Amino acid sequence: MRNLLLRSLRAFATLLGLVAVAFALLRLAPGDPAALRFASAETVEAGAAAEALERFRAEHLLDRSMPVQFLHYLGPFDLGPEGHALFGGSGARPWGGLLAGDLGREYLRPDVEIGHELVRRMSVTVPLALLSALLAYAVALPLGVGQGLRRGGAFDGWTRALALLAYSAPVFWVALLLQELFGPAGLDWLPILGLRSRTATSGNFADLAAHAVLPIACMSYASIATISRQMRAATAEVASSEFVLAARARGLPERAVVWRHVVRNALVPACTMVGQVLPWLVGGSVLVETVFEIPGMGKYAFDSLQRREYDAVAACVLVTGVMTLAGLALSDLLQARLDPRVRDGAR
Amino acid sequence: MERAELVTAVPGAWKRWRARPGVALALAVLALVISSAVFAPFLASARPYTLLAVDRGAYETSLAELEPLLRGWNQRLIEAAAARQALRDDDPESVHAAWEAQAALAREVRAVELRLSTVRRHASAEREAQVPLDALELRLRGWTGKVHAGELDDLGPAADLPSAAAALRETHRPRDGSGDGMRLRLQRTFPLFSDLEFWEWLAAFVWLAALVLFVRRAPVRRWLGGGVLAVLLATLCATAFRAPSGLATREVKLGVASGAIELSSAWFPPIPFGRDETRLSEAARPPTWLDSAELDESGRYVRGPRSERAAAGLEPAILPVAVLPSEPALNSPVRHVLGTDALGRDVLARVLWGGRASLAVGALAMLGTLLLGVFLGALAGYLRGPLDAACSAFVAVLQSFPPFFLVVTAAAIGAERAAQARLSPLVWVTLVIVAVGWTGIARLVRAEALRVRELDYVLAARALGYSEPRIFLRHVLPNVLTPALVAAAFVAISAMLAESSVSFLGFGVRMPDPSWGALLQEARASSLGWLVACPGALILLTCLALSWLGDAARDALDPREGA
Repeated sequence: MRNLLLRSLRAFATLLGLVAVAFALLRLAPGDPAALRFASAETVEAGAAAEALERFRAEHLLDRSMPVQFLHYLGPFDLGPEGHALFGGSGARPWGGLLAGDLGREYLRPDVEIGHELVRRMSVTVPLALLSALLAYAVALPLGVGQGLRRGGAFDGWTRALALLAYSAPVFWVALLLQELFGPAGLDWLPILGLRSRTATSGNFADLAAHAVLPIACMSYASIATISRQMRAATAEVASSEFVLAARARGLPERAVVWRHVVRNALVPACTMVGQVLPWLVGGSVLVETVFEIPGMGKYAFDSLQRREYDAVAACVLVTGVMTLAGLALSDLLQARLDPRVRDGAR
Repeated sequence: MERAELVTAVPGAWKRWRARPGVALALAVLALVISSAVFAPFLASARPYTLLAVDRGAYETSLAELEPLLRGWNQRLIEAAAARQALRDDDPESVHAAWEAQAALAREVRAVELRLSTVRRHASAEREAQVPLDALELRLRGWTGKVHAGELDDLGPAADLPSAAAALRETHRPRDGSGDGMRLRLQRTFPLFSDLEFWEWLAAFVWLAALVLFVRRAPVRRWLGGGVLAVLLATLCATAFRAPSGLATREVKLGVASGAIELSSAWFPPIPFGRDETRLSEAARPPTWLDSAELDESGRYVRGPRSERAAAGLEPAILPVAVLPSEPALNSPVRHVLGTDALGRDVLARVLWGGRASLAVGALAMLGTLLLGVFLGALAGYLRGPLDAACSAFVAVLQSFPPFFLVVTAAAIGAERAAQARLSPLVWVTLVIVAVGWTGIARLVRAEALRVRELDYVLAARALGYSEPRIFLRHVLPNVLTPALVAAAFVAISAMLAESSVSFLGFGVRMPDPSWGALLQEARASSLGWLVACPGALILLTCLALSWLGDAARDALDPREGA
């Protein structure tokens, strides 16, 4: 119980740290958002512009001290002039900030709520990432087992070299090559941009699948290298352990030794890796989605960076951070479920 | 105790590492890639190593500009006198004006001196040719001395100087077609070498020394000696080949083609195309060893899709290609081995130069990450206590982001502020990569330090009464290095991949500087296949060699893989 309390406390502190990093990223931008906004707005009169800038600054607390700005960003109280009555506001808009679930709006398109937009984009990215992870595991687990069982053999050597190759290939270059190869300039087998043809109806599954093949391939190949490496090491370690020797000594058939003793135990570390792999895939989506023009979270982050919508960028960073934390928690949970030593030790 | 053996097993591991299959090849590939980047200016440049020529253009311009310059000088003198008069009348506004006038005068003097020295360097050595020049210089020397010393009060107007310059121009006319006028002196210059900066010389010599010492398996003392020698040689070269004062900044190939430079002999690099040398008439030309790259005299493609498109009237205006001096012939297979980009720049030259940025970021980020990660990790693991707690919390926060995502956003958001602080984009990207990447190393090293601090030799050192800093630096730090060194190759890989990705997204190295990632960004914008292939293949090759080395190091240190 005490352990659990300590862990959740630590998780909370880390979350606070995440917010701090996102906030620091925002402060890395030159000038402040107000200047950015009014530098591009068409204001007729210089005086009116200056006044609007002042008002904007006051509204968004850009004229207050850093800690106040951070608390305002964190929420759940809105510390602005119209904010919570506790902090000297008028009470018209008492709640705001991250803890109130409010990620703010874009500066240049004030009708776009960042939170809603993120949810919309995530509904594209997360399924892609899940499918990629699935593909990666489907390839990497058998590969790793094969390598680990015949360590030093020809199969091991070749597939390890291939894995190093996959690990070293820059993903955006592979994406460009695949576009050249399968796109209209090459074999013309697959569509290379977007997730949907202009003519396709919304329920057209074959069209969606054709569009998703290349992005999923790009997102998964690097993870195949990492996961198979992990699986290989685990398989090799388990295969040389004493209980496997004992199983063999008892005269179990090789198939039973491999499946029931080696693979089942070697799966644990590879499976707990899923918590790291998923956020990795989501983070890497910036490149893949940019190259393939997929309207997901990564593309949103890229576009926001280009448009200097730094609030939106910080929100993306935060979301990926929270996802990573959740992934780590998932890893721990899986570890506890799959490994009886951890499971029983925790009791 | 199995792990303790690892630390002491490092010498054996080194030998095992060298003996693993492919390590020698990977080392050779890496050496080749780094060499091509370090020596890129010597391999691909529009400027010759040496040039024996008459820079007639520079001479004539300098001669022609003397007169208007001296006229302007006269004007500045009058302004300076007025400003000083106002100063004497106690006009508080005039301090700035007087100071400005003095600065303008000094600039003017410098410009005149530059042109005079250019004229003198080129003018023929005959006695009578020097006389008017000497006379003008003598007249000027008194003035320039006083201007440099700031004694402006006893300077009168110099109304007769422009006419003296005009007379000089008449007597020093360069020889024309009829054989009339002055014969100019042949000059030997080193345009390529004088372009190099100190750090470029340094990189070249340090890399040479490292290559030699690595192949010869030299001990540490000789490495130090090699480093000192490299610094000395770099300083020597950087001063010896300093750019000659004067106006010799003209592009050599264009100068020769237009007749402004009368060439006696020149020695060009093997790829006589500059990094940023644009040639619109050859824009988007495929690699010249391909049939589809063949051009006829008028600049029309003879075969392939481009000729069909041109026949259909879809190609932009056709310009005849000018083959400048020193360049391979129009359809020579080595003219543009890897083709040209949308602006007609040679892709091979750009790829070679681009490697400098990518590899520099990789190497510097690796060094920074290792230094920071090892030091902080070892300190945290050795000292424990509040520093360890703070460090661990920080690492936990930073590690709960997808690292690549954090690098991209931080590099992009901070780019402008970095530019305001006069940081080059390369340095900024490196800093961001280090700031995000040190946590992994720190975690590895901290775990190792936690183990090492409990070992007997640390206890023995403490029992001997050694000071804590000494124990940390001499006994703990060297023994926690192993995991960091094994991870070094992978740190370099992720740094290079991060840099190229950031540049590919357009937030890293800016135009016109190439890096492999930035080249791929340009390639994507122009959708020419041959632009995509090469930079990415080089990233892949470098990272593959590095990961091979790293993997071999991991295996060599793993007792189970001993066989």
